Amino acid sequence: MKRVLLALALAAALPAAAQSPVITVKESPRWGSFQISISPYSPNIDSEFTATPFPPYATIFGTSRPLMVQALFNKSLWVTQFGTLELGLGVGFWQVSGEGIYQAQDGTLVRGGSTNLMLIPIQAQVGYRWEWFYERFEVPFEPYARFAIIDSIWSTSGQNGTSSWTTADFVIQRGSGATFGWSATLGLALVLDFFDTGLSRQMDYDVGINRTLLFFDFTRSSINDFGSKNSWQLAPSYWAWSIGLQFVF
Amino acid sequence: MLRRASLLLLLLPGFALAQTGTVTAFATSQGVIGQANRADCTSATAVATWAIVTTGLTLATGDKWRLSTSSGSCSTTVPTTYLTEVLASSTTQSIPGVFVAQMATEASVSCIGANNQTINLCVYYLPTGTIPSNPLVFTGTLNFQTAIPPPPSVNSSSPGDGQLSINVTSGTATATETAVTGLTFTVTCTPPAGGSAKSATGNAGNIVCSGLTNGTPYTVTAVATSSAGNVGAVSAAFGPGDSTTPLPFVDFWTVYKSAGGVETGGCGAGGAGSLAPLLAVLGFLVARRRRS
Repeated sequence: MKRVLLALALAAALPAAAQSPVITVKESPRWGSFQISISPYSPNIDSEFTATPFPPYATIFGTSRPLMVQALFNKSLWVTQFGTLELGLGVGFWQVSGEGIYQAQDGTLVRGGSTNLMLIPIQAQVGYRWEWFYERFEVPFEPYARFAIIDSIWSTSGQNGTSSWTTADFVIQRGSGATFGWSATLGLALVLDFFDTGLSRQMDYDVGINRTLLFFDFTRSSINDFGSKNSWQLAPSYWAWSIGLQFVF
Repeated sequence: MLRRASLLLLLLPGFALAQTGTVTAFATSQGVIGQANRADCTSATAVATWAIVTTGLTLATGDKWRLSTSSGSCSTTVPTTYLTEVLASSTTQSIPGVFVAQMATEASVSCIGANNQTINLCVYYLPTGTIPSNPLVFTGTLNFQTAIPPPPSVNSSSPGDGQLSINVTSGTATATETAVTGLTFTVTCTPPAGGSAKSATGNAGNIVCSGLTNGTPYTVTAVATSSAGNVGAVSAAFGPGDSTTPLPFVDFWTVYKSAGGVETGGCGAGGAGSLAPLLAVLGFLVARRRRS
């Protein structure tokens, strides 16, 4: 009789066990990460025009800082108990719109119409994430640093598609191109797994995501073809902050 | 029981031989089956095609179709005045070249009237040699859409770079101009004498007249067209004036270059383009490590 009762009890418990398996396997090996972020962005194009009362960028687009959206995929090169060295590729998108200017026959200028500047920054980056605090003491913070080489593809447009400008010697300069530069980032990530280790293990078991990080960082950059005299500055003049999520797998 | 079954068997061949049919027509200019517009109605050359589809009919050489129209139901006797008579060569037959104006006249349609004037299409089957007292009649309908729209209102104009954005709305219906819904508008921008006008078509709201010359004051007019293709009268002229004079547009790139900006456009200006291969190599290395 006792055996029958035991069998019934086990049978009743089985469905529950199937829905919430107890994760006993070890953490899966880590091999990379993916992150998405947003950042208020304003290129310092007006750095060329410090003596001009009406610098072009501020005149057309004002002082707003539209959000740049970026995504970055990293491959882990060196994983130790102290941290992870990563190499990655990323892409972003940013666009700002402003009011153009109409020039009347009598020379007066009237604001109207729409003109845009669009950036698509592509970057190759190397970074190091210091995971020792969390691994050793379970302090849920991971500082990190990154350095990136950037190729920022850009395009300006007016009422008739991509803009163009004809020089005094009749050379047409199209308002599109690509400008190279670099960036350095310092940031701090909050390890969200700390708040629910069970769910964290479940995610690793189900989809292979070892760790989820909410990060906040500051980036200093220069995008002017490394100081070329024929290039404008597409990087901000300030340490640009960004916030995002990173999934380590 | 046996009697009922026998009766049913006797009736069955009758069902199989039932002679039915339909007829549709469309004015060639419309491309819409069952519809004709004012231009078709008033034109001496506009024609329609009738499509006859019948079943259960066995045609003999020399049989004919006689076509007519009627404002009411088709007569059950063969009409002596009719549109045309053609040889019945097939139970599914297309008859082109029937004059729309003649169809309208026979059915007493007012070509400068309202929309939705429906007439009946009557097709009489005439076997060889005899005109039966009780002929087979196949029927269909054709809808005349003859209402025209009133002249539209040109409300405003905003100048752009080589273009004008014209705000157009429907005019107010009158006794003779009743089409005020489902309209499209054609805006025409005419330069001073000697230049060529430009036109643009769109729905009510802003329609952009493009390809214009900056600094030239244009005169703007508009006409409305009903969904059936009836064109109304031309609106009152708007302009010429400041608001109908296209102006050169100065965009951000022009402002930047005018101010003396050094950027010249293109890829990798200043020799930094040599970094492009580096990015490519980095991408390749990542991809290669993933595969291994």
